[in-house]
Amino acid sequence: MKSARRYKFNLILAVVVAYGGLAAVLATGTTPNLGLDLSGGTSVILTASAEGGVEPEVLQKTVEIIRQRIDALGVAEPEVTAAGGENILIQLPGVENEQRALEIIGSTAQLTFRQVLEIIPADGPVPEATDTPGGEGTPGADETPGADESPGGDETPASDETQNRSATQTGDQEDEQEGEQEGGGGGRARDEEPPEVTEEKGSAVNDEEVVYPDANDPSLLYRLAPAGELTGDIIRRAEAVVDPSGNWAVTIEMNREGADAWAELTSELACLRDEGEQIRSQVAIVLDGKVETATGMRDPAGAPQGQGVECGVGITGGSSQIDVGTEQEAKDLALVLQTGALPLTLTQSEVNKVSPTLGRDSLQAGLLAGAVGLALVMLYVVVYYRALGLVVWAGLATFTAAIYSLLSFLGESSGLALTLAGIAGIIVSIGITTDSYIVAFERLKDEVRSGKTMRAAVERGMARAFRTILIADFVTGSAAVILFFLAVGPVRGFALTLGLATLIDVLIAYFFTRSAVGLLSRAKFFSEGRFIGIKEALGVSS
Amino acid sequence: MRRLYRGETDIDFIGRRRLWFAISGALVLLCLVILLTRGLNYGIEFAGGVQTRAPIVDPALAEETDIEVIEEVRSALTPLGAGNAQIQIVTGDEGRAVLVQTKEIADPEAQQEVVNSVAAAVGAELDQTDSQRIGSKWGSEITAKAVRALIIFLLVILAFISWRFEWKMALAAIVALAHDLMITAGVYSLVGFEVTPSTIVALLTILGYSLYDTVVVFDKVEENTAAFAASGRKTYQDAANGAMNQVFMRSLNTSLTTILPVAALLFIGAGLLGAETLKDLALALLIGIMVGTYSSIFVATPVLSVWKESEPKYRAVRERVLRDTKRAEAAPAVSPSGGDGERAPASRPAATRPPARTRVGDKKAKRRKRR
Repeated sequence: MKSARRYKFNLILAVVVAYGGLAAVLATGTTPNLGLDLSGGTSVILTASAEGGVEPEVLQKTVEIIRQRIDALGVAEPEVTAAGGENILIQLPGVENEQRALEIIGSTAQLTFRQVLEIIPADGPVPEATDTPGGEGTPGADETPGADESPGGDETPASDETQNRSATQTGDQEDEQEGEQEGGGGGRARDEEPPEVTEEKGSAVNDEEVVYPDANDPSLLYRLAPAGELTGDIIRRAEAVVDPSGNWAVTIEMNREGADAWAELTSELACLRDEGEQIRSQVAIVLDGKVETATGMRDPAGAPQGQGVECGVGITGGSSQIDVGTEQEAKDLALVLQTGALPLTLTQSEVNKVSPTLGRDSLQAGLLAGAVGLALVMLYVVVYYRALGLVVWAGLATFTAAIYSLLSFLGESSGLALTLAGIAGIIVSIGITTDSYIVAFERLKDEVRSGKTMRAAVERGMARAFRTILIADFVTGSAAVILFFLAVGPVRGFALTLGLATLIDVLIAYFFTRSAVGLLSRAKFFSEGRFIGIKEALGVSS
Repeated sequence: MRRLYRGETDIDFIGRRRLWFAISGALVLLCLVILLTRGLNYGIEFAGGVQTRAPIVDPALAEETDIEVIEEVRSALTPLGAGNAQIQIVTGDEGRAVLVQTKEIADPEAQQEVVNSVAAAVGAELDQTDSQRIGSKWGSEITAKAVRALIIFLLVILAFISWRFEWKMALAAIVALAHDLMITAGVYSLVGFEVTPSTIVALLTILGYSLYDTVVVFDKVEENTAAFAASGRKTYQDAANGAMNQVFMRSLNTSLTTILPVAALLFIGAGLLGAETLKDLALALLIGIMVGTYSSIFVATPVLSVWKESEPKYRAVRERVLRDTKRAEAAPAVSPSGGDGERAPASRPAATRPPARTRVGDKKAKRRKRR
């Protein structure tokens, strides 16, 4: 038996949480984000270029990647379309600020893997300070190498010491460099002014030696070997993982062609490492003309069996792991690797504001229809269930407050955009929520008919009805969860709204409805009253 | 009516299953034929199309708001059958332009006609107008991922219902689901509405609703059959039928409260206020919800009960109950075999039951005997 106190507590909790959320949202002036169809947004046109023309499949793949990149949470519902053979049209919802839109679309260049030839600090190389190899990487710089690495193995760049060291070493060991780069790189940099940062000029730059800045510290420059085949499109998958020793790492899987080139490069780098070359044994991951990270090869001597990179062998099979400091860094790097693999170089040709496709009248029509529907439902339940209908009223109001707050909050925090389809979905969820009450009340009738007292019927009936609601909502809830995690695009936005509505439904059924009916059934006016009475509604003949 | 209200109906849902199966079978078959012959009308989001862009030159339009311009362009396109085009106003450094996306028309002349109309509507010269083919916005990747998600979802649901109830219920629920989706898709094909991302969202809503409704009904069936059929007091069919009668009112109420807002969306939103997009969505939802409610009672449960009756355990129960009924027919006044007697077997003495119901029970028993 539930005590009246418990009922009161749950009821107050539900009301405070739902309306507190609503008050917070209203106070901060947050409103739900409207989708492209209802509020318009920003349109961006990107033009692709590639040697020998843009192939349609490659353009389509680029479209998919951009869509994924824009829609990280998958609920903003942008429109990304290939157009006219070499253009990509992007429309983002509600982004009034063009700069912001461009930021969201992000970098449009390719991802490449390049051998580090030299690390050049801002004020030019300082040829001294030869540290002992290994050791002190700064955070963000201690990513390490290839096939799994030991913390404290050969960490790398970004620290001042390393930078200094790099210059010296590159100078000294120039002659040991492999074929692709002409032997002068490092030495030249020491004698002359700091080199100009290479400008991006399409995919041709992949076969050239370049100088790029560090992504986090633009004053730090890297001289890098040509990338050759090691571009982003060889990456099949990249994931942030926790390795058995509890450190964060990123695993990379490459396709076959990529794996061969990767094995060759890593083998050479491992040889350089064995020769004591701390700088040149690193590989840099470059996105959008910036070095995201540079990492050395793990020494097999200090690594578990099969996890080091050996000279003359390299990393074979296409699977590698890069040790990364923190969870956030690992996830960011994985995202860069996963989505940075644009197969084409894009230039942005136009940015404009676009009007909504449907406009306010559709929104108003939808909202008005929703309001009328809701009013009809409310009228129906109060005629049919009397005082219990009032519980439905209060419950639906609580539901509306909760879902409005959540949608506003998610619009603000995660870019959730509400399209007309989403609004229609919410209108349907009103019906499904009402069903929770109907299941409960019909159950009450059954219990009362079987001869139980009002109070016992409420106790048992509401508990049993809650079980039914829980099972049924589990079905819709799991649909939402699975669709959200596995699907993309508009389906994902739908899944999020459905999932939220289902969750709120369960919570309200437990905390609000059960308590409210429990308390009402004890109040004489509500249970015995001639017109309003629950007994009347349930068909109890007294 | 009063009996309906009190949930004391006595409809033989399962006994008349052949009728329901015939209706559903014919509908599904019809929808399948329509789908195969007419196909679905995929919208620009799936099929790609043509995008035309023309600067707004006409000085008369310069004063008008975006929405007014859109309406004018739309009315210029409607006679060409392109009234449902996606029309937007683009505002950039070079002033305003209209951006129209239509489905590609196979006939190049008709296609050019669309471009000409757009240009004419905003007073632009043809050489200022730019027209190019655009790919699908939905993309094969979105479809592939959605399908994969659906398959995994169905497997999870099969596993969940099998665990919570039993695997035969899980399969019966999926049968009902397929029935609902097929009929909705068939109606879409028949009416010739465009399939847009909103349609997919509507279909997913129906999928969720259909399973939800079936599970609510099965929860009751499970409870009743566990109480009566498993203990051998009633045939599985009768116990399930009793559950149907108890849950019937809830199903009616629920479909009514779910349909009311959707109908408002259809008739007020789309009908009176002319929000065309709402029309497609609301129609799909309306059909789906009605079919979803129908199938839980008239498809899912009869399928389940036919299947369960064939189990040796319930066949044995059935024979025993039939024997009892025959014996009881000699003394109808004390017969406990009514169609809904399970509702209050202990608290309601047989003698006080309304005679009408006893007669129904007798009729049913006779029908059973004849079979």
